[in-house]
Amino acid sequence: MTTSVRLSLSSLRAHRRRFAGTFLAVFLGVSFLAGTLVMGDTLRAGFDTMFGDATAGTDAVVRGADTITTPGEGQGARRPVDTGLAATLARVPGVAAAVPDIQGAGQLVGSDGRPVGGQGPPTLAGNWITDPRLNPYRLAEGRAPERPGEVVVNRGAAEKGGLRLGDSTVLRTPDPVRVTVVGLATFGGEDGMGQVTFTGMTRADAEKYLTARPGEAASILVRAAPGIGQQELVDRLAPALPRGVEAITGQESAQENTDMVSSRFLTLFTTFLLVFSGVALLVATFSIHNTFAIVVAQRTRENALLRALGASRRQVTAATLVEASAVAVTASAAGLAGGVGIAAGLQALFPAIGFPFPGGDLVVTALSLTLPLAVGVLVCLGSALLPAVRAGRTAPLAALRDTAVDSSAASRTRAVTGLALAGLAVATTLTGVLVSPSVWLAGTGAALAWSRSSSSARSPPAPPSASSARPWTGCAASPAPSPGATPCAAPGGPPPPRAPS
Amino acid sequence: MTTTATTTRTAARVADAVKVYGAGDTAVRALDGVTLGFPAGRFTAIMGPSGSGKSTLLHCAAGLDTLTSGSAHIGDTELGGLDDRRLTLLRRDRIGFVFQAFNLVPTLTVAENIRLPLDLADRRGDPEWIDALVDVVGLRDRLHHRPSELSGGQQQRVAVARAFAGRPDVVFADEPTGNLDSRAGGEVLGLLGRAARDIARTVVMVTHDPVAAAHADEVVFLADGRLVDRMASPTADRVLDRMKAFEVPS
Repeated sequence: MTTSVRLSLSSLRAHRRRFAGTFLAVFLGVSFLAGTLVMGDTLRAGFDTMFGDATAGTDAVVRGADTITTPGEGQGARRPVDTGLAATLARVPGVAAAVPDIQGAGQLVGSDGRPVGGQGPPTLAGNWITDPRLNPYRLAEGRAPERPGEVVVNRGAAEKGGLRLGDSTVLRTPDPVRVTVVGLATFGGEDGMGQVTFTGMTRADAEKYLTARPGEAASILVRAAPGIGQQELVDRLAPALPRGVEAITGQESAQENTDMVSSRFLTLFTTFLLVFSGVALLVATFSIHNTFAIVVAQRTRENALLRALGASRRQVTAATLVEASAVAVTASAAGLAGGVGIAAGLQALFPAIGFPFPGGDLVVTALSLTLPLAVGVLVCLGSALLPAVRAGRTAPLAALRDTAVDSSAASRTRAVTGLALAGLAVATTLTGVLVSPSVWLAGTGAALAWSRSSSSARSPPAPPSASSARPWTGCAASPAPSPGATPCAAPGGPPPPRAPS
Repeated sequence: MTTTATTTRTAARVADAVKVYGAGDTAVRALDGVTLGFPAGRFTAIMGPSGSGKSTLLHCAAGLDTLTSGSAHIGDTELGGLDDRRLTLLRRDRIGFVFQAFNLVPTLTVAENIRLPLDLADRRGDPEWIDALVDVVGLRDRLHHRPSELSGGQQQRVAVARAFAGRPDVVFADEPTGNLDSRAGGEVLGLLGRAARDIARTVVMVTHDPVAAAHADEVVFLADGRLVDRMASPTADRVLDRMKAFEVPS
């Protein structure tokens, strides 16, 4: 066995260049896989923190109990609750404050006359909740709206629309409403909840413009008196609730928001990267099989010599497999580093293209290291298995014959064809990704700022989601991604020469 | 077929050896009933014209190929009864090989090539013996070179050292000097002869070169797959004369 190892390592040293392509393919596949996992964990942790921070003061959320799920929309809509319920709940012992959370659609018009947020991320409006601990938004500058027509805008949206304190503009609800910006807000320490724009109005304005009938709220946010736990608060609220209305803890609500982001944004986003990872690993499979088939064929005499001198079939097979594992382990290990690099790169890239990446360090879990490593090694060994077994079956007599050794150098035609195919593949992929905004949007989630550069003029703003629930609902609207076709340009190679029999 | 070596033990032998390649009309009888023993501690050369079956005889006697009928023994072990795995182990532990070309693993050093059969067996071997072998073949200063850095003669000397490294029962050499000039060839043949005479090793060599055959203790002649003659204490001239006899119909 040790001889097998030594044989294969010395052979690897001697043929380093031959394994470059194999190395690259495994490296890329593992990189994408690891990058995707690290990225997903990091984003999830970031969103956890963001929602946790934003809704830390909300101890319970009262809302319609039943969801009305329409096909194609994962998150069902809930029946609104009566704003009057807030007053009732405020009298329940243990409740410090209860306020209605009125939500609707409202697209701001920027100083240049164009709508802020385009067709992509949800554009929301609601009542500015005056209890600062129940309001997920924090006032960063200016003041809360007091008179009709006064609004607070999240800072990210204001910057995007070129709106400053004191500016007047129009809010499309979709009926145009004349508003004046009197305050700028942050969400969970960020300039906004992703790319979502939020406009906070007075409660009267919100009831007037945002809901079908006055007196309807998406939910009622409740804060507990000191010393009352979240679950205890929910238990106390329960008797006071009318039929069809439920109360959940603030933690559950935050968790639901995070899950929703995970299931929408993250799933689509990671699917996108995983497809690349899969393609790379598929290419790796062909490349590895091809490379080792050639290596084994070229080494027929060497393997035959080993067999003649007393190497068992297993030793010869093992030598080839050890070679494959060496490539697999180094390429996969490099791939892990590459994957963390990809995640770090995306983390840096996101703010640059206008998407505030939730803060925090990269989250690298054991799973996001071991899984890609295992996949890389398995793919490599699996693809090399057949050639390795064939190597073990070499007849010892082949050593005594003047076997024709394949000495064809890499032909120019093949190199040119390969390069052309690779170029075509890259072009097709880029076209697929860039030309169709749906793919990009689906892949990266509506929260990405693609719409800012390419969007609005072409198509009308997406109609606001009927769902009264949470802002992320709008993301789901984009059609399923059809990732750009990536022709799998498996490296061509000479057919393995056969030993004359 | 009478034998002159009844007093000595045979290290390897074949009996009624028949080897047929192909089938039906195209069948070729490469060996046609050869019975022959290779006495231990002796250097035997197998000669014959092209197509006489001398290489086939060597391959079948050495367990590299199987007989169609008849038997082949290494010591007391009948090769026909061994499966691939046991045949492999037998080659590894009891037989040494020197081939005409491509004897060495190109990616291993000289020292690693010499130790290869021992390493494959996971055996330590006898370091003093191997050390002495290295001096005998004169490769002390080449131990860490790769085969591609050696001359053809040096490569064959490495192969000779490897063949004897594990103290095998018998060393089979298939045209070991076929690719060498006469001086380098003479060195290799001298080594094989010394191994037989000085340290009582059994060497069986196939060659078509009368000068090479003259290094052996005995020459056996094959023609058309049959054993036709044997010659003790050969000289190059006598071997050449005998070979010439094959060319004229007798």
